Amino acid sequence: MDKARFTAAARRYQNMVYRTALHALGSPQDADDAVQEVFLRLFRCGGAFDGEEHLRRWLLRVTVNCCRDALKSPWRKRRVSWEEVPEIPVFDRPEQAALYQEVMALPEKYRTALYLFYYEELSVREIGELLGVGDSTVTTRLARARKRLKEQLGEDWQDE
Amino acid sequence: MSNREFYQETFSQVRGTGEIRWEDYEMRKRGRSLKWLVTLAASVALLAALSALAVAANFFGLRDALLPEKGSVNVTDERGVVVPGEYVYKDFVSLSGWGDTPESRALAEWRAFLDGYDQDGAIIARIGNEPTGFEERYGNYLVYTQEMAGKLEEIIAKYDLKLHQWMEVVMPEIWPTAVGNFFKENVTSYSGYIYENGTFRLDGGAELGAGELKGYGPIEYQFSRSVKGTFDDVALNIGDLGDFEEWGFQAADGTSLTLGLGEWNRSLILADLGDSFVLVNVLTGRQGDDTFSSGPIGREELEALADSFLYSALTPVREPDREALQDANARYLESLENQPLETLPSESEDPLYVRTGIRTDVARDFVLLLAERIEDGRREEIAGLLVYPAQVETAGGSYTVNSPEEFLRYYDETVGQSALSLAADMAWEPAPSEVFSDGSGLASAANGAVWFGLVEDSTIRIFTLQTDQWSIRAGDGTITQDTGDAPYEALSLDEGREFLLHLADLIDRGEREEIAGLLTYPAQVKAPGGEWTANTPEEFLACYDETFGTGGSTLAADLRADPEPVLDGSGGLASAADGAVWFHRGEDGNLKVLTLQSDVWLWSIQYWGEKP
Repeated sequence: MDKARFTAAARRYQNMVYRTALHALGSPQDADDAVQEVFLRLFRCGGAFDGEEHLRRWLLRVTVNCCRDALKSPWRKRRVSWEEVPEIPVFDRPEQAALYQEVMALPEKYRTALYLFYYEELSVREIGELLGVGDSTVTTRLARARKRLKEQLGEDWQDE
Repeated sequence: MSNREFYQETFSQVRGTGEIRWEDYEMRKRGRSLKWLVTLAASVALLAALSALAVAANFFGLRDALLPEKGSVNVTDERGVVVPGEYVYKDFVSLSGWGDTPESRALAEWRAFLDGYDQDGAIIARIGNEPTGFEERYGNYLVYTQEMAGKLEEIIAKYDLKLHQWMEVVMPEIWPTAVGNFFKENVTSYSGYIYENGTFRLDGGAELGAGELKGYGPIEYQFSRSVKGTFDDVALNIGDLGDFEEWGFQAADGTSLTLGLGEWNRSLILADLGDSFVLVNVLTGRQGDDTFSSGPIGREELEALADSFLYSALTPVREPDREALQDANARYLESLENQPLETLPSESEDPLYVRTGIRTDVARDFVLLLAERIEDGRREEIAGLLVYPAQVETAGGSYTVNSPEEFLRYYDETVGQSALSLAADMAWEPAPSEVFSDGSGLASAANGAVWFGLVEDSTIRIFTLQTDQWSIRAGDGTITQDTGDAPYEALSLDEGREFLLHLADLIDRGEREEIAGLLTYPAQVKAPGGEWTANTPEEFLACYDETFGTGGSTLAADLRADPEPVLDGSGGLASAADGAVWFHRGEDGNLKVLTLQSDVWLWSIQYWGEKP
């Protein structure tokens, strides 16, 4: 991948990678680190991609894998304690801040499934492939996460 | 407003703070680039000889696959720093066919257009992550403006090509359904993609030498089959053509191939099958490749890999049946979901068992049971599962407990205060993949909250239980548990404290050589002036002023103020001063610094090699 394409990919997908990593890791600092790691892998992989969609999915897959590796490190638990408590971003409306907090309060696997489904608009099957789990597992995760969000957010979260 | 809109509206306001710059990554490649230059000179001489042979044999070589225009890459100086505005150009090959085919000429023209379009990224920056409106017809191409769409239409009309219409994911075992069985037994295929015309790309791995590892490990590859008549915008950066040793080779099924053995992470297998073009991108070369952990290969291994595919099974091309493909993918996913316990990997194939002596399903049951006990507040049973003596750390202090009875005094401050969240972390949809081991001999779950392993009587006991607020770790402040093949000897609190105070003294006195001698290499150094990799103490000294020269005294003061090391329960590491320093016992038996960072992250030094 040459400089122009790499730069275009970074501009277009940096926030996607960041949000995915934030959902997986729950920490803005860790998510920023993951972004660097993912784009390092893009830089090093040579980049034979079949267009935008392939690149996007490759980045999502690599991000999920990077975050999985990071989560498995026994170093990470300790690291959280010596970093600052993550700040909550500023949102336009209070209900958005509430959604952010409730999503971040969910266990990792639910956050990631939610993000891929609601933000990246992947299908259940696509999420399953990305996370290495079956359709029914994804469906269960989404159902439980929705239930939790409904309990916590009340009318702001619709019944589905 | 739907939940999806609510979600997107909310999280679209969340953005990272880091900056992604090509130049930063170029700097990280510095070490490799220098080595590359040395081997390049030798390769060029070799190529000259091989080129003469190629002409005589009249076979299509890599040069015949090259695109006319190279891609630009930054130039770096002898220190590895990017020289602004200066570029070198790398060779690219088409995946669609030899360079003079309509497909490759169209690709060259499209790339030339893209190179001159939106160079400052202003247009794409305005669009951001928003839909472009061009997804339906051009979703498989880099098109985000009407001008780009117009140019693409012009090119495909000129070369009488079609555009890809759809693409479908292909699961690992579905390739025979999708394109026929063209793999031999030593080859593994992962998931990939197939287009409506039969063009496909997949990732895979191969074991060479009749299934035996010959010292170079599995070879990772990317397989591409491009069906002619359709425009494909993928080009592969092969670095420098001069890096490749190339020759003609006839596969066992009689297919004529062009092989190119590269230097690092790129070797190539090319075949023109008449109605399609095959390019296999092999992710290693004569020197091996660290990105994919692939060992080095030679001509023999590349030929063996080339012979691992049945090219004749790929022609004539048959277009995939999308519905059948979707059904096969769905069945594959269902089969994974419904896999009965009896068909789980045998013990020898279970990586957790190999590493810890605990089968994955047993480990999972243990975690579930533990979660249940924590949730129910069965404190005596939990206390009975811990390894003693244990070190308990809470906000109130650090204590050594020698028995379940002693631990129970601290139960409410530790497990009791986080019972629900801890149990939820462990119990929410546990799956075999969520129990893992890092090679320490212990297994872990719930993102590292619990570490457990076998003790002498072959029962499972907990070595570490931790949250961000507290921890319980086996040992009396000295790491004593067997950590498998980890090379660590015991690291005591006293020794750690002495080391930290000594380090603070050295920093205060500006003893740069001695400090450099205490670091672990290679080390990545980040400072306001740049980012470097130091492979030796001598190399680090060049960065000394950028690091310890700025804020070193604050760091020394921090170490003096808090010289109490915190031992990591999972294997011989320790930290201090709120994580400002991490250290371990080095291979020479002395304590060495793994990471150091200044106050407010002004600079940092981080060990950058294999996990110790």
